[in-house]
Amino acid sequence: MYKEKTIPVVVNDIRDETAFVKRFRLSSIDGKPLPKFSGGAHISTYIEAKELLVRQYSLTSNPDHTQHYEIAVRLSDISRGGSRYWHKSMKVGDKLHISYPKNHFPLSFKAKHHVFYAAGIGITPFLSMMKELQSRNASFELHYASKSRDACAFYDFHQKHYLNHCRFYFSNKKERISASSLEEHPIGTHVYFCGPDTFISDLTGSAYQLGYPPSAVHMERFTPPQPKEMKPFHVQLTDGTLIQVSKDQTLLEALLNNGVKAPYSCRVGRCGTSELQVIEGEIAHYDSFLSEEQKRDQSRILTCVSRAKSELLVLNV
Amino acid sequence: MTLNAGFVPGKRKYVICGDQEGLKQLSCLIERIKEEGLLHEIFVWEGHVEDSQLSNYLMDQKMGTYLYVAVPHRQLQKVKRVVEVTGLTDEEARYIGYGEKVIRVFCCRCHEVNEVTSHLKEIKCHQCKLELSVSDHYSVYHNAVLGYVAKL
Ligand code: FES
Ligand SMILES: [Zn+2]
Repeated sequence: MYKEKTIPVVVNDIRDETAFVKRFRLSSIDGKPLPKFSGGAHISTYIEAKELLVRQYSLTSNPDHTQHYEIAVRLSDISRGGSRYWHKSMKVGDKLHISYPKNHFPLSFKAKHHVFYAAGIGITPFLSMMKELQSRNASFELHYASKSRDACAFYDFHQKHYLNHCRFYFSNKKERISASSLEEHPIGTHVYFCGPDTFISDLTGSAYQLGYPPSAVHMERFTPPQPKEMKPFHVQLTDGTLIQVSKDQTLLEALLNNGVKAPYSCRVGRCGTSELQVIEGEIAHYDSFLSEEQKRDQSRILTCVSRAKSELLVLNV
Repeated sequence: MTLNAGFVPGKRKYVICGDQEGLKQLSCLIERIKEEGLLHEIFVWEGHVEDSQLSNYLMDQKMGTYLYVAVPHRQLQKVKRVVEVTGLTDEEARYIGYGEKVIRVFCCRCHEVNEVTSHLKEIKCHQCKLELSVSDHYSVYHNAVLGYVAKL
């Protein structure tokens, strides 16, 4: 029914974390424990609304406690339906399907010390990671930037459990995470960044400039990386139709505008729904769904974010 | 002769660790680092320096540090192990051995480790006197290649 194997779950608790962030507790319908996962893992949630909504959320609960999962959802200002549904329509007792946990953002096993840098809702993957590290008695610290204390999700939780591991930066108090903080980490440190694109690229750039080896720098993006230059290109459909994709338009938008019923859901290259087969042409991949190998294979494209490297792509649609 | 240690640019600090001879061999590299005005420190590593001195020193260093080690071949593995425990990876360090290269050969009969010069194909175990042929099977656990019975 869905693009991958799923697990039916029921929502059995909903809490307001801040004015814009809600926490949801999910457990299996038969009451059995859910699959094990590791710190930093996420799930896809499948909601049958007017259209199928597929979204990815980091698991925020303790990896050792799989009687239930927890996720935290921020109501997005530009919600295309996913976070709005979670916030406005989801009720305790509602059922949905979720994928098995996947982890693109695992903890390093080599690190002597782990340092997390979060901005806003970028805190979510770190919750399970810190829980895992604490139970392993490993060394870690968190730098967490938020608009204000009120808008800071999990503030009380961190104060209570990790008081000496956390530093908060509230922009309404003119506090900012500065790249100079990266200068202070002892050798053997691994750093992890999660937040808006610019937050990640600024910190990553600073870390490399200081001479951090690439393997010690980890990041998780919630939005697709912006292609440096958006070049126009053409796609050809199986019936010979030629469609132009302008430089400020995604391939998906061009297809939909031209009446092609192209599938999609998340629109940020994370769910896999918008995949189409490519018969000819070179693809510039910008998604975080396909594996490196699948990307190298150059035979499928996620139309919501990826583009053409060559002038023309021939699509099997 | 000076060793070509391959300068790795873009690090906030360089640590050069070696004995007198090793440092002499790295003089070109050290000159270059000085000329470019880069932050650097020299750690003199002589045989009598305790391992803990080197590891304590390294553990005080911050991310972005690059390490060069130049010591006699026979000591290279030992220094490397001290460094690795501190968390500094192969990506952040370069190891240069000089002088006669020795290899460690693990005797398949008495489990003694024999240190020999590297070009030998057959050796006699100095403990049990067995003739051993030197294989290229390296055991991380023994930090030695395996020596098999040469004559059956
Ligand atoms: S719509 Fe989700 S990957 Fe494109
Ligand atoms: Zn022997």
